[in-house]
Amino acid sequence: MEATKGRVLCVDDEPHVVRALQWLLRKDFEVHAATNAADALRLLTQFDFDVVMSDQRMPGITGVEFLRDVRRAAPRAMRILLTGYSDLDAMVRSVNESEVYRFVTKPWNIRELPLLVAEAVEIARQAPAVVPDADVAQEAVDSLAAPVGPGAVSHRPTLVAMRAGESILLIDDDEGVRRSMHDVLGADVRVRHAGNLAEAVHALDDGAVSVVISDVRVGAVDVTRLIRLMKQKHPEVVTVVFSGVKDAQVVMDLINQGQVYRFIPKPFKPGFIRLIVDSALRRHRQLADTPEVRRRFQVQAAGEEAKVSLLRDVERAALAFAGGGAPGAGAFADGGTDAGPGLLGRLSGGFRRLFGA
Amino acid sequence: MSAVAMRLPGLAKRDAAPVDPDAAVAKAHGPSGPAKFRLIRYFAIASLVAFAVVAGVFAVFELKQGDFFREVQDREGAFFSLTQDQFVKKQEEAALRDLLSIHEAGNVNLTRLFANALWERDFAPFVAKAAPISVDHCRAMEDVKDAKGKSAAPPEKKACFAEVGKRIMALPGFREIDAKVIDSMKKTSVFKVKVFDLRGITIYSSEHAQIGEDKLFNAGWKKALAGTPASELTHRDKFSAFEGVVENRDLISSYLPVLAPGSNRIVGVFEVYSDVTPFLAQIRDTSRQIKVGADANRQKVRLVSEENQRKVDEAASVQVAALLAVLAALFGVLFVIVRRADRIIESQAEDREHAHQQLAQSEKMAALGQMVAGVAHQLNTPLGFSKNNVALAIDQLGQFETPVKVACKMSELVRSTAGDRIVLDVGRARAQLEGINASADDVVAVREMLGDVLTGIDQMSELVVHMRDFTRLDRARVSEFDVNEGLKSVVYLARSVIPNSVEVTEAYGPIPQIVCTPSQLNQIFLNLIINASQAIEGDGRITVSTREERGFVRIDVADTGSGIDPAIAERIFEPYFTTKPEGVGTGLGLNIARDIARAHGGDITVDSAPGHGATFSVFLPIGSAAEAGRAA
Repeated sequence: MEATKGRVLCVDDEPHVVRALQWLLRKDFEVHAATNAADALRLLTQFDFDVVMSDQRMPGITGVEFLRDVRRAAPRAMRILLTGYSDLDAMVRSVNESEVYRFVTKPWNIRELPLLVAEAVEIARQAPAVVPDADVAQEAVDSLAAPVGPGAVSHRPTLVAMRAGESILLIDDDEGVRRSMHDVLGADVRVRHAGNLAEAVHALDDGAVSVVISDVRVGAVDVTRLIRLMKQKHPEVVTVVFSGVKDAQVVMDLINQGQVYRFIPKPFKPGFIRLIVDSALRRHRQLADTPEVRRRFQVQAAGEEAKVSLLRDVERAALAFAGGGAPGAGAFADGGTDAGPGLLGRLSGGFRRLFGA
Repeated sequence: MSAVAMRLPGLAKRDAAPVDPDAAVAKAHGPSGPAKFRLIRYFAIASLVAFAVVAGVFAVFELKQGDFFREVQDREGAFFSLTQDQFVKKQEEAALRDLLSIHEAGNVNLTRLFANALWERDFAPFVAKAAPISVDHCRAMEDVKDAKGKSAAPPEKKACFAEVGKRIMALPGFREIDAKVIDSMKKTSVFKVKVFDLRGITIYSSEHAQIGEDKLFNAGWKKALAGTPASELTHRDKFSAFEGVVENRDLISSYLPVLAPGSNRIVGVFEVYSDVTPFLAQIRDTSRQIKVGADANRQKVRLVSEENQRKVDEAASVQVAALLAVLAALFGVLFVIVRRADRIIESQAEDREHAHQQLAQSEKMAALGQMVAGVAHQLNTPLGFSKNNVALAIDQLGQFETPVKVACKMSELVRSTAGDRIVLDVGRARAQLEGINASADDVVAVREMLGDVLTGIDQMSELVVHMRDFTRLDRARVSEFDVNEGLKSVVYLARSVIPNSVEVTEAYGPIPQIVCTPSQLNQIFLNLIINASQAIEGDGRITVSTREERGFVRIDVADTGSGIDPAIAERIFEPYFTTKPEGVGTGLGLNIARDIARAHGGDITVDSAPGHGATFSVFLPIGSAAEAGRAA
């Protein structure tokens, strides 16, 4: 039955690559191939593709740019970027502009790639398409490239009004970032702040968090594990990650295992954050209102060891926090003195609820 | 391009003698160029000269001051001495004058007494008696000039007067007068008494031999005759006094007018010799004492002056010595400071050099690292599809196992059967045979897959060949080199680094091989091409071309990028000059490129118009540098 086969478009300027992909996928899918973006876009108008897989480096256009066009032209198609280059800039743009489903590196695994494509086909067919929010998201993307000027600061688009039960969780240990975030978002936006992993777990467990804004690291601790693990269980939570660290692997994991909504290299403009938060909130509502859409942002399971190491770091953070007798410790220990086992017990409870451990 | 053309002749004239390119590059980078500033030596010489001049000037000044002081002292001493001398002289003169006038006054009184006592009764008649004795015949005798030209009386004239004297002495009353005179003068300080008449003839003398002498021309007599006593201090070694000859006496002789008693009429002239030897001795003694005092004073003044001079000289010496000591100490301190500064500067220079070398190394590594990363990623494409195809081919081959077995069995059967017919019992093998779904197309596909793998392997080996050609680690460092071939490798590898939106065009002209260090030139070319790609935002083109030009191989790397601001075009080859953000570029890339080009006897230039891209041109000499390169 030809109709039931997923329809896949493979784009790569190297003909040997598309031939190889055709041989690999032709048994299970209806594979179309193009060796340049123009041919590929023409094919897009002729067929309704489930999955579009593109190389990053092509003459005249990058894969990210091509997939951005695909996102507009065929919003139903799941986008996969296939590249031999761990080009950080391309990765960041693949998050922010193309909202790729997966980032696959060459040489690919011939057992996993067909499974990934199959999964993508299934999602494309079952989950409703997410039409790009052209007004806000594109504006945000454009302002990324726009030069910093007086206009950029004065430009304060109105945020969508927050609904009851919605809140934003900011995970960062930098007081300056926290303050500027508060200044930018204004008093009408509910922002909870977590300065360490324990606080973050507590906040996530405690109330309905719509959007998580986080640095890659808090102190020396990797936060992306938390984001990845959380996204696995709570796909409706939209995550925005910012970082001054240039590490392609981190971004790749955030895409594949965290379906991070936006990745923002530091330093960033305040007005930009406002736009991002606004569009993240919209995305969260889409996900919250239409659970079927969530499948489109399904993550690849993070390893079990990530969960174990995260729990260990959370406990360590909690102990350091309680032991230090910091003012905010009351958030965990109501009595203030029974920090030890009670606190940990509650935390691991929260951890289990959150991550299903 | 005109700028380049203008520079070329100069370039050709360059004394192109690069020794070892590496050494030349290292030297060009060294913080201490050929003209090293020898701080300590220059400081020591300059400050020693300056201090010597200062010390010399000060010493001369001090010496002059000593001389001036001595001069002043001498003048003061001379003045003092003169005053003293004059004082002593004045004092003695005053004393003598006093003595003279006292004695004169005494003699005048004595003469008065004498005249009163003797003149009227004894001398007047005697003078009258002598008056008739004519002297005119004696006076008529001519005076003669003696040896000194002084007119003196000749002996016959003296004899004539002596004859007159004898006649006077022969006159009656002479003996009485003589006795009275000697009697009255006895025991006095008067040693001699003479009497002259108005003619000037000696009428009487206590020294008888002198009677008759003519005193007409005697100044004393003339003065006395005019009414004024005249006195004179004389010293006689021998003198005939009343009481015999005395020796070595100081005498005052006074010519005194004799007045007729009761009138002012001069009637004769007395000459009285009085002895003042004791007074004079006393005066002289006083004078001597004063002089001794004065000399003592002078001596004292001289001593004081000498002492002062000594003190002044000593002070000057001490000052000069102190100044020398201060200057020496100053020099010592400054020397220590400068030496320390020199060491610090030297160690800083070493640190800088070290940092520079590290930066240069990291610059080289950055370009190479970028290229290695690009190449590694580029390998992923052939690696990806080759691996994919091999795995698929292996899977496919599994499907062919049964068909091949069946075919083999069939073939065996055919061989073992003589007839044209073979009876197959399909029942037993139906299930297996029906399971065969491989088609002849699949075989073709497998062949194609493996064919692509071969292509992939070719791509990978091409990369490896270019990498080997780029590094040339397995080749002689200095060798004959086809720049075009080098550029092909560099461009091939650079393509893996530069964005796909940048097109690289190659336009190689016929150029001769040159002797050079290919790995270094490849480094320049890679650097220039990567720089060019970085200058391009979005779409653009890099053109790499070569041609022969006036004895040089010229390599142009032109881009369509942002171009270079003329304000900084002059500086882009300077070390540490970069327009890239902090931490991205070391600012050494072009500097190293230029050093390498120059070490090869060539150069590198840039021609750019802002907004219209830039063209970097590398010039490498064909002939002369090749010889030098071989020598290296």
